[in-house]
Amino acid sequence: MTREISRRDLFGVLGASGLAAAMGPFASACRAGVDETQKTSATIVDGKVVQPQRQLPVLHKTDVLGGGGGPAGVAAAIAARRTGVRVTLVERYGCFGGQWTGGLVLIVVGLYAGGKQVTRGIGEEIMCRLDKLDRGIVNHRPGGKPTVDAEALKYVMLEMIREAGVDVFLHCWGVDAIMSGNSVQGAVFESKSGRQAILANVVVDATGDGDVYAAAGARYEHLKYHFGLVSRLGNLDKIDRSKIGPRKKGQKGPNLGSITPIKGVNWVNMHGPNADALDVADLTRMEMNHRRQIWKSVEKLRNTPGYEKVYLVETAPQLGVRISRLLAGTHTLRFKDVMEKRKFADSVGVGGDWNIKNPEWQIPYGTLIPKTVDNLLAAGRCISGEAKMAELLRVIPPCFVTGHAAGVAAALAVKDSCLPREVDVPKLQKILKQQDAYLG
Amino acid sequence: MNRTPPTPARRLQLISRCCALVAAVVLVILPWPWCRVLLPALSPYVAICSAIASRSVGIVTLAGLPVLLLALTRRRWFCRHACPMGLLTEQAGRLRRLGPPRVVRLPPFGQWIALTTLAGACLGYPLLLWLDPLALFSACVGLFGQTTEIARLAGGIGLPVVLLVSLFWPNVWCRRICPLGATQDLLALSKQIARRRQSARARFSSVGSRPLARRSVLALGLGAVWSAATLQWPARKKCLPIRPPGSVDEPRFAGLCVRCGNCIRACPTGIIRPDLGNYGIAGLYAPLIRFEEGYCLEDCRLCTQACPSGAIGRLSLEQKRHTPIGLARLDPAVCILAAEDRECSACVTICPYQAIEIVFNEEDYTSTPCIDPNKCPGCGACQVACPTEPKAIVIEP
Repeated sequence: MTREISRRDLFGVLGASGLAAAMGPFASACRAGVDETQKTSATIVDGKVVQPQRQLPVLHKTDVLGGGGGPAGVAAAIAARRTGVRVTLVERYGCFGGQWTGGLVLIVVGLYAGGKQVTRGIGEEIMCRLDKLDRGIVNHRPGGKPTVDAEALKYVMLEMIREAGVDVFLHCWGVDAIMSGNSVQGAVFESKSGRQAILANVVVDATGDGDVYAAAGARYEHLKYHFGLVSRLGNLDKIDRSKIGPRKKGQKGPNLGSITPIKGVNWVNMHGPNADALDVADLTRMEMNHRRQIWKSVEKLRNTPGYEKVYLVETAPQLGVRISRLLAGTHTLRFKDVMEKRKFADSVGVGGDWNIKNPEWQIPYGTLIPKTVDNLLAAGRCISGEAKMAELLRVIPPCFVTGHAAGVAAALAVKDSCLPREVDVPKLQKILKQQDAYLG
Repeated sequence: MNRTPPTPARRLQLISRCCALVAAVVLVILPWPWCRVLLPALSPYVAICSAIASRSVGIVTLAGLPVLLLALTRRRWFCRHACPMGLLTEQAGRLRRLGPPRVVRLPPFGQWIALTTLAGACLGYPLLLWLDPLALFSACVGLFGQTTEIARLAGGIGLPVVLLVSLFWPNVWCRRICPLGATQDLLALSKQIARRRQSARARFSSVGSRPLARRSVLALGLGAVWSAATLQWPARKKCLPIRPPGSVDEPRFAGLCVRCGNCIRACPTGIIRPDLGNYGIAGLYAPLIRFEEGYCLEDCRLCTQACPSGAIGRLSLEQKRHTPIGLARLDPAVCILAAEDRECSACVTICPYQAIEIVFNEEDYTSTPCIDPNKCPGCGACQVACPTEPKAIVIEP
């Protein structure tokens, strides 16, 4: 039995559909906003701060992604690019060099072992370019301890990265790994553009703290090590020696640090107390205490007769974190092996000695490969070694060497379509040697 | 001069002595410590005196037992048939055939030496233990290919001196000076005395043993006084030498050590050196440790297995790790970390026992390496690694 639709009913239906038709474009615009402009702020649910699931925009796609623009990251990026793949380098600050520039650790120790230069390759290339600059580097001679100027180094590294054709993103803080099972597919970065993803075939973790492998779920050792803050003193050439009395034998004057390429300017080290470099409370406390201490010690120096004109040029922008994480790699480097001069068939570089009088030590490829996580290589101070190795791993030359090796290995994995742990090691070693690396 | 052809018995004796000489050289030259320890340890003179002085009988002491028992039954059999030194002195004596053999009348120095040493041993300081011929032989033969340093080579001078003495006065060393020979005489004598006493008792006679020679009593007295004096007034020097791990206490060490050089040769890092007179005359050529190129390895105990006289006690690896030879001490005024805040933690890194920790002072922002005396066995790794000159960290006894 059919009923006639009343006029009122008809108007009612028409009115509803008309409203829907009018509202339609606006509603869809709202949905698009949710997906693409990330307006999913954290909310408080049951007293807990939660962030809703959201889709991240992909900033970039690349073959090899380097996380961290310190000596290891820069060496890895240049090496990978020279091996013939697309490379992207991401850095949290506005310049390259890491502790070498931002930390004002200007001295390069551990280049030599038994009088022979054992760390070569891209690191040496950088220092040779600094040689050509006025006031770029001092003591860059056989057996010496080269000391660089941070500004010259920032410039040289930037130029070399530019020349190599590496895609660069500065001011990006790596916050997470992008995973597919055990395999790393890229990394998530936070910047002024928000949270974005960079997808890559292979990721090189050159963050120094192993932030990427930690996020990817690789196992590691967490160390609490001493960290300080380096500063630079100026006007040291204007010390009035006539006001300083003769020193007694064995008596030491105030600590004026070591020379830099700039006349009258020294860099001053700070050992500092043990603290957790992965704890923001510790980092804050160290930063605040260290800055006060530096100011106080410089004031004390300026009140010493003869030293009135000395002044504090700057404190390092970056805290001097020496070590935080050490990877659990497929090969863990042992201090005993170093002292017993053990040789490794898969050596990808050699470290030198600095004040332990150790012999040259080979760095096996396995120290760069996480035990369980794939498509990821570690480079720099956070590679796989026992805690006792921290002292040797953390200086600049091994960072170059491991960065160089990780860069070439990552590029080879991309070119040969294999996992980094399956890379043909003799081929890797051959390319490294062609790029002027020394493997022992 | 007419020489009588050797009888078959003498020929047999010569062959056995030649074999013994070869065996002795081989024992000294072979690289294993237990081989080297055997030759000086065979001497009952060393065995008895060191056992008494150290108040202990170790497995090495037992090596002296066969010759000791032999001496009781067959006086000086060892000298005639097996002593490598005996053969050499005899041949040296024969080199000088000019004129009739001179007969030298000498009192039995050897017995006095043995008695003096025995008396010293009772007080803990066997005075002239180093005069043992087997030790002198080891010290000399062992030097071959070890060093070219004149002062160290002089440590093996005992054997040439004995040969020189034998060249001018044949048989004087063996019969009148050698304390090992004299020990065998005394052992045989003591047995005779015991037997005579027994027979005398059997005959209910009061005519007893031969009275002890006055001079022997004097030798015993001299030994006692001398060793007591040495122990009472040790070297007045402030710095004492560092001895190998497991060594007896310092005042007794110089007496117990026979200067055979075994420990010096056993050390794989070459840190055990002979004392070339830096710590007084009493300790001349006794081993001490110098940390110049190497340190006392945490997985080595070779020197403790090499000592024939117990001056260095035998230690297991675990015992050795917990037997301090010294203690590291830091001079904060020299340490580049403590004094200048320069980047160095070489001692902390190298320490095989995790005994050094850097302590941070919040007040003046200094960092100073601190040594845990309960963990530090004084192995010297830190001293070798320390980059300063003079060393900021040194091992003190």
